[in-house]
Amino acid sequence: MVALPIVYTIQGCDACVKLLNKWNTEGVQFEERRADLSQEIMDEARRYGNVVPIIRYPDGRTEEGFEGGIGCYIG
Amino acid sequence: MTDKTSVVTTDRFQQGFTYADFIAQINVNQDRFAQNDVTAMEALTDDDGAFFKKAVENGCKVLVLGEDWCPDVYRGMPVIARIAKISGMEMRVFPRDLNLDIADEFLNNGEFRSIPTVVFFNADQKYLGHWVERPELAHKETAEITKELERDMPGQNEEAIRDARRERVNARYPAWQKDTVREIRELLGEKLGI
Repeated sequence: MVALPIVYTIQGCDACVKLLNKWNTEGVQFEERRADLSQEIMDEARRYGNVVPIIRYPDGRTEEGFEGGIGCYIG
Repeated sequence: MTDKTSVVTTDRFQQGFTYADFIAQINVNQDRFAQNDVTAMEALTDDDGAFFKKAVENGCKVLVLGEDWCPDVYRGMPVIARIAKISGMEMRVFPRDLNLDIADEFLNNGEFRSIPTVVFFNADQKYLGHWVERPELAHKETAEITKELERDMPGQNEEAIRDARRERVNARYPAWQKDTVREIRELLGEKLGI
C-alpha cells in the first residue's frame, strides 16, 4: 500500500478548498482529515501546525497553508 | 451593510442558537470555550454592566456568527455571552458556514467572511453596527509576539516556536477579552448615544 500525503482541513477554509481543487486537478492522491469534525483530529492537526491546510508528506515533511502560507488559524 | 434591510428578520433572528445550545452542539474546543467563559467573567467591570443594561433598555440585541474551530471565536464569543448574561441582552448564535447569506452582509474589508462577526440590532430589527474578529490590541500584540519569537528563538525548530507562540498568545487572551469589551462599548455608545 502506497503512503499518501495527509491533509488536515476544516470546512469553510478557502485555502483548503484551493489546495484540494489543485490536487484533484493534478491527480494527486491524498488522505483528507477534517479537523473540525472531531477533537481527536483537531488535537492531531495541532501537533503538526496551527494554520490549515496542514500537509504531512510520507517522508515526514510538513507544510502549513496554501501557496505562501495562506490558511485558517486553528490555535 | 449600512441602512439596507438585513436578511436577518425578526423571525430569522429567533431561529439562531442560544449560547448554551450552540455550545451543546459543537464538535471541538468545548474546553477552550469553557476556559474563556471563566476569563470573560473578569473582563467586564460593574460600569460595563451598567452600560450594557442601558443598551438593552434601548432595545439592543446581538447576533454572533461563528465556528467552533476558530480561536478568535472561542475567545470572543464568551465575552459576548457574558455581556448578554449580565445585561439581559438577547443573543443568538449562527454557524457561519450554514448562514453564508448573513456572513456576506458583513464581509471584513468587503472580502472576508471573518469570525466572529458580532451584529447589533435594535428592537425593530434595525441594524445598529457590527464588530469583527478581534480587537486592534490583538492585531498589534500578535505582530509583536512574532517579532519577539524571531529575536528570542533564532534557529529553533518549528514545533518549539509554535509552542512558544501558543503560550505567549494564550497568555494575552484575558487582556484581549477586556479590549473587546472596550471596543464594543465604543461602538454601541456611538450608535445609541449612551
